[in-house]
Amino acid sequence: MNVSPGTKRKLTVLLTIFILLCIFSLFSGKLAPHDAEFVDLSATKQPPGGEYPLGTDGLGRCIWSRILAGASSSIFASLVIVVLSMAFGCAVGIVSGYSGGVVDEVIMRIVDVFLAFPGIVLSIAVAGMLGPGLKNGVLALAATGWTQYARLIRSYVLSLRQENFVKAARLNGQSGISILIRHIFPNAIRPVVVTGTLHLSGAMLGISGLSFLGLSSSSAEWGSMLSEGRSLMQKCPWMVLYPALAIFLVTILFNLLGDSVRDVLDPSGKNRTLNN
Amino acid sequence: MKKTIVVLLALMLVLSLCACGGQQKTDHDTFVFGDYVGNVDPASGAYAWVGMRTGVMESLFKFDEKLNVQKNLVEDYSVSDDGMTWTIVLKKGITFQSGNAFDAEAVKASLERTCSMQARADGELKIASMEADGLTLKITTREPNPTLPNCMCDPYSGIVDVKSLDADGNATIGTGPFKLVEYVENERMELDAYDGYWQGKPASRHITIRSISDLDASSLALQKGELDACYGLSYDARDLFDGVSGFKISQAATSRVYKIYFNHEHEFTGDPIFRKAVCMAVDRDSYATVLVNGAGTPTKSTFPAATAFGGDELAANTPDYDLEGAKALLAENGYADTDGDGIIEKDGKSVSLQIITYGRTGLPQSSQALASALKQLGIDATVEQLESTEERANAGTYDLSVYAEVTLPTGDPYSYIASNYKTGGIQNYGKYSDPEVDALIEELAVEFDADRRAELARQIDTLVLADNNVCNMYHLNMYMAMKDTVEDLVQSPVDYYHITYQTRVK
Repeated sequence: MNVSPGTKRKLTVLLTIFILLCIFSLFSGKLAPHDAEFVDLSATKQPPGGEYPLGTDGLGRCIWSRILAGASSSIFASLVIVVLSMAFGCAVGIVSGYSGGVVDEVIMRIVDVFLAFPGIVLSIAVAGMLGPGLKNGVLALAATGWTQYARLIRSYVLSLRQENFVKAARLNGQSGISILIRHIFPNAIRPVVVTGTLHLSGAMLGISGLSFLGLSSSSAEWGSMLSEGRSLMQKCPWMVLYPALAIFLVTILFNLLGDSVRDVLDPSGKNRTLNN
Repeated sequence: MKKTIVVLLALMLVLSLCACGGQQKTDHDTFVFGDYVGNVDPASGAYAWVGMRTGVMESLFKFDEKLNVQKNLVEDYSVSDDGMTWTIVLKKGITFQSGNAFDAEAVKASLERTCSMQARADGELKIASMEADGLTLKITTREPNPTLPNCMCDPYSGIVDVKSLDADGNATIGTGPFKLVEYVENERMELDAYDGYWQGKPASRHITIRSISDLDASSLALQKGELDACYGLSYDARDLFDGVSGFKISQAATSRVYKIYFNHEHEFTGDPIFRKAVCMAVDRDSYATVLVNGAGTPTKSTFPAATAFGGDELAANTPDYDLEGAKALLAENGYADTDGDGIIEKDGKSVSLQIITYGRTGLPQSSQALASALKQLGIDATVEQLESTEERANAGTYDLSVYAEVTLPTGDPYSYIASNYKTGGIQNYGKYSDPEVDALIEELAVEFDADRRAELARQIDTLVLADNNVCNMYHLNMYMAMKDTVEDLVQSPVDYYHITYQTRVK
């Protein structure tokens, strides 16, 4: 596999920014100059500048503080969505691919059912049933995001099953679980990691979308900030501009990172697109 | 091949952009109004007011702008000395949009149909029997009903032509200036002028009512000229039309009160001192000016001060906004943060409150502002915004609710008082109960004298507010925004009347 030093350097830079962003979002709430939930009715709709660098919203809350406080929920929520869907999808996919037969058939038909609906519509339905809240929003998106991992890893498991080293392991008397964990999973992990990083931006937009619709967090979250500000968009554009910019920049970063990870780990899969 | 596809795609893009630019041209004979659409049948239940707002239905009586009952389709009326029999003489020369005659027989059939279909109408009108003779209708009630004329203003009392129901059994023909010609659910209604209207020929020849569920999309449609006028816009959007060239607004104070009601069965909210402290955290002046963009009138009493039933003098024990005072009051009464976690405790139990509310403009904002103020008092308050609070309120799984309700739906305080303040009242979600109040409500139910009714309503409100059993915040002003060429479209304080026979675009 030939990966140019430029590609590797790009990945290093993006990965560093990503890690810094994750660490930053852990503490960003503490860096906020004001309490993100503090309502000050004497300071509503203030334009950016002075005490409030990005202005205030219709309830007099500091937008900069809310963006900082929202960073942890928005960014971590997307990480958790990806990790949850990846873990569940991989487990299902491996079991399905390795067992074959009826089990495989049943699991794949269930996956088909999930794929028959547009992801976001299904998430809205699930979030609607679970009720509002960031935790439920994450669950709703993870509940629909796992299928891509299940399909992907199943196809790898199916082909790896036929490999000689797997047959050899089986002849050696290794148990099914041990073969899956030791031999098959490590060989199928690369495309999963690539899919995972590409999934990050989708998850980020998903969680923001759900909050925009009022189905996720009601506290400071970028999507809900957009929703709260949209009726004032013409008079106080800063109320939607800055949260939108935050979503935009982080999504761009996630996308670039996903592309770059793919270039390094899975150059052959360059034309693969996500069905999300 | 690739080039062809690119060219085709570019062409499609251009075409789709052209489609966006196609502004709908409105002509002078058609009036396009953004409002709710629904079944115009007054007996249809929750949306009975659609028929009246669109000018299809009319009722025997009508409210003026001060919520006084005025004769509408009625020439004269009187009530017998025992208060049981009402004699109503109808106006001459009125016809239904079907051309059928409007007489006592038709009114009787219409009221009978509505009462048999709608429990609320039957329960409020309390009609036992009716006798029709030409234009004279005699109504005998099951018990003395002093508010019968008020109830006959309610949209459910719209008079329909029972002889011309549509295929689904809905009544769509009334005596109003406009006749329904098409109704597409959740989308639009098309109305044609009825030239035989008793007050004169309608000024607009055709009216289209468009329902746009997204508030921001509604404001954009009005800004763009797709609508001539729009009702129910967000309060933030008012600045886009108020004082802006080419547009104007019409607004009116209504009796809709934004309030907090407490769960009296819960530990903290059951304590009058604690409730008083919560009331002290309510900055009603700022809520009214900031949260609903100046569309609120701060109030402590239940009913608007402009009516005979309201005024802040009734709420002597309702405190003003005073966070420091609230802190001191709580501290004096054993609420203190003993474990240093920032949350106060009482008898070892930390004080946390579950606030429930729903999405009506101003409610989520008021709830968040209240929660933020309570946090400053050391109370851990969380806001839950629900689709509807009814289920949770009935189950009692909440501490306090920020809620909005029309207090004078029929211009009379009885229905609100009975459902909210009477023991077991259908909207008495907080389970408030006071035998003295119950006795006064029973007296109010059968009192005919207007001054005595007002006095009773004031006494009841005073008793309810004495222990801060509810905390009223502000009354809402409703508004409509319209092009400055629109004539005779006025926001009414009762909200049942939108389109009149004179409404038009110049």
